[in-house]
Amino acid sequence: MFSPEIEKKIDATIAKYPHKRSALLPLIHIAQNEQGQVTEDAISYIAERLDLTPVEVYEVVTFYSMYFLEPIGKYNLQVCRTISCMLCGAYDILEHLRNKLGIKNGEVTKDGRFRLTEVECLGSCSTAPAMQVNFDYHENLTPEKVDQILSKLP
Amino acid sequence: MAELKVLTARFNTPNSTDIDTYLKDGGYQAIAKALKMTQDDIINEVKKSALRGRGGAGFSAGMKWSFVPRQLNKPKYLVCNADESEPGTCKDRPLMELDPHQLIEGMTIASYALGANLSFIYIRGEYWYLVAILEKAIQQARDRGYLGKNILGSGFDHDIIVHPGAGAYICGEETALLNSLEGKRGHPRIKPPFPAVVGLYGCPTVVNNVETLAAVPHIINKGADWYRSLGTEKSGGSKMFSLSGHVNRPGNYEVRMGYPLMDLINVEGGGMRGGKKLKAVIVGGSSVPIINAEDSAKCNLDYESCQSVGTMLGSGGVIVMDETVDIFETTFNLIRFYNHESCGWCTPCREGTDWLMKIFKKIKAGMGEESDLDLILKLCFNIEGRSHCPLGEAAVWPITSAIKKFPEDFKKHLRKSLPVLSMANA
Amino acid sequence: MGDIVKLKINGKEFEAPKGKLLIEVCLENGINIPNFCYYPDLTPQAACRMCLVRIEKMPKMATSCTVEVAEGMVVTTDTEELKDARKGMLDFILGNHPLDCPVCDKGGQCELQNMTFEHGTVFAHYNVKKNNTPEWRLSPFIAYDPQRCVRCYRCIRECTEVMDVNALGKIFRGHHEVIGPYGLGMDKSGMEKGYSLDCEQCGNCVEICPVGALLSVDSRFRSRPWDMKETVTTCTHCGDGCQMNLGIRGTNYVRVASKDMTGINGEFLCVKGRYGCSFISNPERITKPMIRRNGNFEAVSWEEALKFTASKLKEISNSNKDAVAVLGSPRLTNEANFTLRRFAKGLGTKNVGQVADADWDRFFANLTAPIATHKDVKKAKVILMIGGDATENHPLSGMAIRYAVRKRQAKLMIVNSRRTKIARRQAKLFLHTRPNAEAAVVAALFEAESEVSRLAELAKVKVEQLQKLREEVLNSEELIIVVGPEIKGATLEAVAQLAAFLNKHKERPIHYLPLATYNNTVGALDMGLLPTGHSLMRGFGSQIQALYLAGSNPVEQYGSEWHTALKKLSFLAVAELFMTETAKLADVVFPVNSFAEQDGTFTNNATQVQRVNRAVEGGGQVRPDWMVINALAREMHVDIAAKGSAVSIFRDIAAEIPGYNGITYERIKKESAVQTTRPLASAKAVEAICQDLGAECARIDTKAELNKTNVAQGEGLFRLGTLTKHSPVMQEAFGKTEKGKADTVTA
Repeated sequence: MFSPEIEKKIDATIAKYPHKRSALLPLIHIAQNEQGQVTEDAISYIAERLDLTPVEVYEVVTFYSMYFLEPIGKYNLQVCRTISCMLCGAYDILEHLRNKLGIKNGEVTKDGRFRLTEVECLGSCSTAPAMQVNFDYHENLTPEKVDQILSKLP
Repeated sequence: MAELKVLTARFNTPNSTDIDTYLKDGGYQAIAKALKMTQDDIINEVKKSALRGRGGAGFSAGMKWSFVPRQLNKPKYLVCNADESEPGTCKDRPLMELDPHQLIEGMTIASYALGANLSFIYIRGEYWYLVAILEKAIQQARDRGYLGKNILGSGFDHDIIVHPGAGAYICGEETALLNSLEGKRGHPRIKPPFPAVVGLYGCPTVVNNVETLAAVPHIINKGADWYRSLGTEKSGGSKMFSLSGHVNRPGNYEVRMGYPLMDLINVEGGGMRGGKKLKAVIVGGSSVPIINAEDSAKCNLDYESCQSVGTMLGSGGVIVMDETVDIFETTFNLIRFYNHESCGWCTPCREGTDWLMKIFKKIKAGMGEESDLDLILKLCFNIEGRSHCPLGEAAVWPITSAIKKFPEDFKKHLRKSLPVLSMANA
Repeated sequence: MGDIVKLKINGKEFEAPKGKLLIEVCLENGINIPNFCYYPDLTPQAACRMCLVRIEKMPKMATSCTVEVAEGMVVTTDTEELKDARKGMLDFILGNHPLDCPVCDKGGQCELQNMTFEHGTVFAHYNVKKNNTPEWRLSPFIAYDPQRCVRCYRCIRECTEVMDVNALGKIFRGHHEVIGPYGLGMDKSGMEKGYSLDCEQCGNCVEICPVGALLSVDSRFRSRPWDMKETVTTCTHCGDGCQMNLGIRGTNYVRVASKDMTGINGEFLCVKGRYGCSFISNPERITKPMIRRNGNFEAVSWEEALKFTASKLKEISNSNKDAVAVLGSPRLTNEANFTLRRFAKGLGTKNVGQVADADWDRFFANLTAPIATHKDVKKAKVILMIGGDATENHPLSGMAIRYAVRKRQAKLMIVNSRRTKIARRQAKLFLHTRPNAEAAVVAALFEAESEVSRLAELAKVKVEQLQKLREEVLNSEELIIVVGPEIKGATLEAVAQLAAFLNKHKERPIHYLPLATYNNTVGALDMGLLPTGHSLMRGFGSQIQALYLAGSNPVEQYGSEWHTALKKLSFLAVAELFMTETAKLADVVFPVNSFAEQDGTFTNNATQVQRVNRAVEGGGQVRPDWMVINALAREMHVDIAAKGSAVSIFRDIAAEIPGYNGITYERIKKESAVQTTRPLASAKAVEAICQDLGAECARIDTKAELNKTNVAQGEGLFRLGTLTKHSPVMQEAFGKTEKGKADTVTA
């Protein structure tokens, strides 16, 4: 169901581990990064590759907060809301993004470009407030800086 | 004397992640030395160094290693806990980002001491960009014979797999981490058996924090006595602290164990932002009890001193709050965090954090009453010591300490109890 | 085995085997420890935190469900602190619980109710809004109400550990966590788009649920537990013979449960047992005797029906006694089959038997070792399974084998021409033979080593595998041999002789478990009904002119050949529950009781006699089969020493049938299942066995390829039979599916 290149990556990932079930989390990452969400097809595919039942994959998908069962838009804006960021203005950043994009936590803009996700501590406490745009860190944020970051996104 | 440069010594070196730079700076000498030592010698050296787990629990690293039944006819594993998710803590990130070879060398020495031929770096999924850095460094180490088969002709084989997590604070707990690494939900396991005996894939496993393992090459190079002398008698060496919140220069600082907290804030941190007054500090990441300014002045950054002021050194995430902070708000922030991160396994944590969160919401909405504070304390009491893993306690300590130390911040949110209607009024 | 340790609980000394769970020691000694997530034989969880105790030298309260007892342990279980902890825990559990006990099916049998009554607080402290979650229909059989769920994970462990199905899991995290199948909650609107519990539908998750979170759809809102009468009886759907509680309200079926736990199956049941018994209350049951006149059935009185039948049978019997045939059934009780046998004897006909297509008579005639009970199988260390698909057709046997593998690390070796689930997932060694080639593998166990490679080629299995099987079987310290119904003829005889052959080399405990298909296959043989049905059928219309057929439906089961043959008869009387395709050909149809409406016994595949107990009065004018025969015999003036009750018939059985001596209803009541004794055959010469096997091997089609298709889940379990197709919920679930295709291979 994936391109040969991705299939190769999946094969290599499974081969790395002494027990193939260990490849489950990395495989879900690979599938999500390919498809923009964790699809039912991906779950069945991964289950088959790892000799699991679909529910065994689904259990794991629904446990971890980085996996999404619905489309996450082109840019997932994951804004840290936990204490250190909060002390340094994270709530203002969130308010700014809500107003700017017209969406609430967990929603995607109509054009499918942005999703706003409140997340817990990103490990950027000393460079707070912080957010991740997909996997890229942006730190020491101010509302103005957020505007710049968004405007520079392709 | 303020900052110390042991783990962070190479942070400003240009190209610090490259193996050639690392070798030039004297890297991979510890492994050469270690491979000539016996496994027991290494473990004893680490024990003697008083190196204590830097992930939060502060358990002696050498002791942990010594629990592994090396004679057992099963593979042994070393797992590096890089699931840094404790709010206020961001020290492992630069250790991997700026000096990955230091970690690789530490892991290789530890693996040799444990008889492990395969180890894992379980890194939180959000640190995605670090996976590439680590994998590149690992490949370089393989190419130069510091990883792979027959390392430096010693006959010892060792390799490292970098394994990304996917967003779960609980996976920082070592047994939840092992479940996650096995491709399961990150629920903590029943202890005993401890991972040192029954761990990954049912085999003896040691789980150590990034910072703990990064310290190992230095202990081997310069000796346990030297390392121990950097810190206190019971807590050896240096430690990294993530300073965050209302200070002028937030950042990661390496200082000796036992360094005064106020010095960290005033010297390294450049003092309070905007010249405001200090109100409260969370010393060891969000899970430890909060302390007020008065206790902060008495607190040194070692396990014993923290304990004496009613808190813990934890993972070294120092969160500084100035006088403008409403402790109710920060506590609400934390209970929301723990509610979000509770794995759901055990009753008190799953139901308790949900219930607490609802009461905090009620108070925030101006509907709280005096009795709600009593109920909060009662619920905290019902969780503490009764949950399956330490997350239950981690969730309630910030609350109970905050209510105890800063009662006014809570009371000001309460409304007066509604007058009880008497029969005459009805 | 195992050391005994001394420990102190609440100041009193106790002794217990080292390593036993503390909670088990407490419960066995009458010390009450509340618990939800603890369950015997399932892995410990430490999740519900109800079972907290204090143990000296432990800093925190400990969960007694995870602590193993050790020498010198000092435990307290009844301090104020612990009582307070339990109260606190119940506060947490009840917080989001809907407290809708008045409309909950579990009300009155609910562990949460009992626990709260005993350990909870009187006042609820929960002063915030409860989380609302919708109820989900997971399958046609099972519904889930997450709000009632206490997250003890018993259901998940039952599904993975006991059933090896892995269909249920924990979905979402923290307080959002629910139990469910794949896809639950994926569609935000709930589960409206369809059921998604892809499993064997055994309903054991429902059984094991301590609260009303998992529910059986077919019995929802039908009765409060105390409103129905529950009768322990034996399941009628396969040879395993599980004990079940049949719940009846008034005269109507409500549900089957297995709460009793004293039977051979504990709490285990399969989809057929749990959901396939509502046929007893199906309005389509025949309730009156009927005579065919001018091509149509007319309801008549018993008197008329009996007179008519008696005169017809007599007429034919008078000309030639052997022209009347009597066929019983492996579905009927021992009492019915025994009476049928006596009736045939009274008539003087030699043409008596049953319609069956397995060779179990040949198996028992050659049996050289005792039969294992399911309990023995659970304790087995080495199991050799030849043929059969226990998971699909003998669910309790399958569970017992899985238990041995899971708990005793039993070495399971399987020889099968099909990729059954148990072979794929549980076997240490799986010899996948080409179709009908099991004989070659069996031969390899008897033959000289030099023959192994030839036989391996014949069976199309790897030589090393066959070699390994030989070694493992020959050198086993003890052995249980499980054999499936498709193993027949000389191969089956050889399997029955294997124990004697092995014991000649080295004495060791060996037991057999024959996977007999029907609920009373073994009993019917014991009562003297040999599987002669098919051969007798060839004489219908010639040597045989009249047939009394009870409890069989060969037209649906075996097709047109039987249809044609039955039509050649001058007279056919059928005793049945429903107007089957076979009954439609009859001249007279007698309405008879189902297993639920009569007393009697079944003998299961472990040759254990178990009781069938009357749970409900039969509606209309239905009678037990034996009573119909008694009346018919009286009408014909044939002396069959008729007895007027099931218990007195069984007394005759115990007196007359070898192996049944000493068994009484009272004894069965006491012991639940009483194993019959059976004579062991003497060992045959190896040369003779090998020669017979050689002939079987010569019939193997060496061009046949391996059947590489996996046996699909539900192939046997979901197939509707003569009875199960009349169970509404089974019909709804499987009636239109490929798997469900009505077929009476199973009951």
